[in-house]
Amino acid sequence: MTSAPTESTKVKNRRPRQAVHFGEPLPLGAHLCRASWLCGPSVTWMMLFLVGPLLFVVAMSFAQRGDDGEIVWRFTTENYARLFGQGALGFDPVQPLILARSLGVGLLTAILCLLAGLPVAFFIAGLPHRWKGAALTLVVIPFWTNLLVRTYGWQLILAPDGWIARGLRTANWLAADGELYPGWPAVLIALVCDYLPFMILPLYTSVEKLDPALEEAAADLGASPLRAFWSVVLPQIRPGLIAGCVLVFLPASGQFVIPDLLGGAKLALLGNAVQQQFGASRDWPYGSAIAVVALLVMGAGLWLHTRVTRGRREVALP
Amino acid sequence: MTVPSSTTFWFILPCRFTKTNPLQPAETNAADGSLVVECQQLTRRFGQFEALAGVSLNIRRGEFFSLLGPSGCGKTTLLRIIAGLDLPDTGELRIGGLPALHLPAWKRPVNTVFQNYALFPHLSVSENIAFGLRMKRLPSADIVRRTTSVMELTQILPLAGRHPHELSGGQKQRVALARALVNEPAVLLLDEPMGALDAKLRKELQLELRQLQRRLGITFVHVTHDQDEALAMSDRVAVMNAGRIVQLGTPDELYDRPKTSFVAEFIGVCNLFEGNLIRRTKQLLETETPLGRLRIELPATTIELSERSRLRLGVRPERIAMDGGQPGDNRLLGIVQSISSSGPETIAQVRVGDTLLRVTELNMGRRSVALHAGDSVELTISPGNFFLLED
Repeated sequence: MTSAPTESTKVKNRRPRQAVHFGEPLPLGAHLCRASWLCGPSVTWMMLFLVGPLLFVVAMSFAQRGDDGEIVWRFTTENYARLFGQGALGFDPVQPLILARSLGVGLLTAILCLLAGLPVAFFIAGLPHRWKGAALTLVVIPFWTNLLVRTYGWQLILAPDGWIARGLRTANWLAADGELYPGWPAVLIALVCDYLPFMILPLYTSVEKLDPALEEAAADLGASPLRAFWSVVLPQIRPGLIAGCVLVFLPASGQFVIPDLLGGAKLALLGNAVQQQFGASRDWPYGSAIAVVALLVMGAGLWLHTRVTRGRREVALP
Repeated sequence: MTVPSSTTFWFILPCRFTKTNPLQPAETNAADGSLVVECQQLTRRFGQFEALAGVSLNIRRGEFFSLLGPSGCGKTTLLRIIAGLDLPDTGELRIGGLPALHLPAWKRPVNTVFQNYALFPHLSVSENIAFGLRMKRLPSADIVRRTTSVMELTQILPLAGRHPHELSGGQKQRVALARALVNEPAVLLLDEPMGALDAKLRKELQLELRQLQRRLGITFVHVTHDQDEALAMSDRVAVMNAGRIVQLGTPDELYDRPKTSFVAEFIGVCNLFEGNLIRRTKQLLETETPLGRLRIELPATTIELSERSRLRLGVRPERIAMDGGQPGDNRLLGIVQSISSSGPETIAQVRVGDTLLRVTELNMGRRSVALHAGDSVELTISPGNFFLLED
């Protein structure tokens, strides 16, 4: 086992990766030449409108707010200190709480989507072939409606005098003065419903590839259904599971429309905080700092994802 | 915990855990005659297709038992029912003397070597093998010891850290075998274990598997459509067709005394023809056939033979001699239609009357004059070399 990695590096060194064009090996110069005019436009576009502004935001997060809300280009780390709770009057938990709450909401949404999505993925994978396409279309149908429209729809459905809220009150699952909207229940319901397809689709692709013989082998070797799921099925669908969790967690923790409209403007998340700083508060440097931290958190999530999935491949191909 | 007096397993397992396998008695004598699997009138339908049409079967402890038949004959369905991966519509199944149908697969004392091995791709070879023991929650020291000894036994110890996709077909087969054997099943089920291997490797593994089974004394139930494989490895073979067992016996019985034309033609090559019974003496039947008048020794199997009844007869190509023979043999005159050689044997098509007979002869280097198409040849068949078919 110890010799395996060196062998693979040997193979890598012996055969450097070379570009191939319709089966013909391409010299590096020709490859770069070709690539430059093919990829040039999109690279220029990304540089001008994504990387440039991003660097500007990072720079701005180290600037200061002027008295009239203008940007004063004087270096400071105060924005970050404030975000992590270093207020003028000592430790102020409000801002770190927003960060923690956003991550918590993202995580909770991902977990709820996972719990709701797993059975759906298995159900679709188990359907006869000709029905699978239709079922997958049904999963993505909500995307045909604009997010904003859907969110306003939830306002009506979950309204305090709506039939769902009234029904829950009659069943005594909701306090007499309790309500779903505005509040956390409505936000979570909407988040889970909106991001569920992002969980179901990658899960489905993994579940689809499962070999039923492996489950039989597990049962044959004495694994109860639960243990077979845990020790054989789950490891097989792990790539889809991780992809789904990342795809749900990242946008859900940065979502600002849903908490704003359904949380009754009481529940600030990262997205809301950024929106507020760039809007009403006119504190662009602080808003930038929040955005940068949000970006770093998401980046860390993605890095963890690739690391875990690549880690698997490294085990698989030593 | 009782230390078993039987030492059949000592080299794989210095200490056995009765807890792990409640249905297997401590004494394990190879082929002691007790029944380890009893099937009674098992039936199974898939929609319109009748996979099993009432199969009754007893498998003795310690024997190498093969289910042989063409694809779709129900042999795999029967194996899956024994494993608990499928349920029969009607019928009864006992494993180790106890009713087993109510037990789910994971509670049955059987293990399977699957056709495509079904190794867990996310686990290494040793983890694959340890899986069954882990599920039984054995102490990890025991798991390591038993896994290691079974890997030694199947000669895959150097592969311990590899993953299934880094293994060749033959290696995968060994891992699948080790993964099942390590659990010391009361019955080991093998579903076409050689199906994906090339012919040469298959021959080697057949021999090895047979030796392994003898050493371990574990009951093997082996499913195959390859008659050579079934004959070479098994103590007993059940030939299946269309959801039924058509004949059950030792490889020699099946080859020398097939009961139906299906068995005769499925196992080996044979010449089949019909005849009218003319005369019956104490030991011999005299029949009128398209080949002429033939004397046939009465088979041990009792078949209802009325005078003048129509008989179906068969003879294996290598039981027809082209050189002399013994006094008392049937003698036929024929013309060689074609002749070819497979290396070890010469295969001749000989026309006798209107019937074409296939005759094979070992190349012993004895024949001084080579046979050619068009030569006339005298064939001799000993009366004892015919078999009578029931259908």
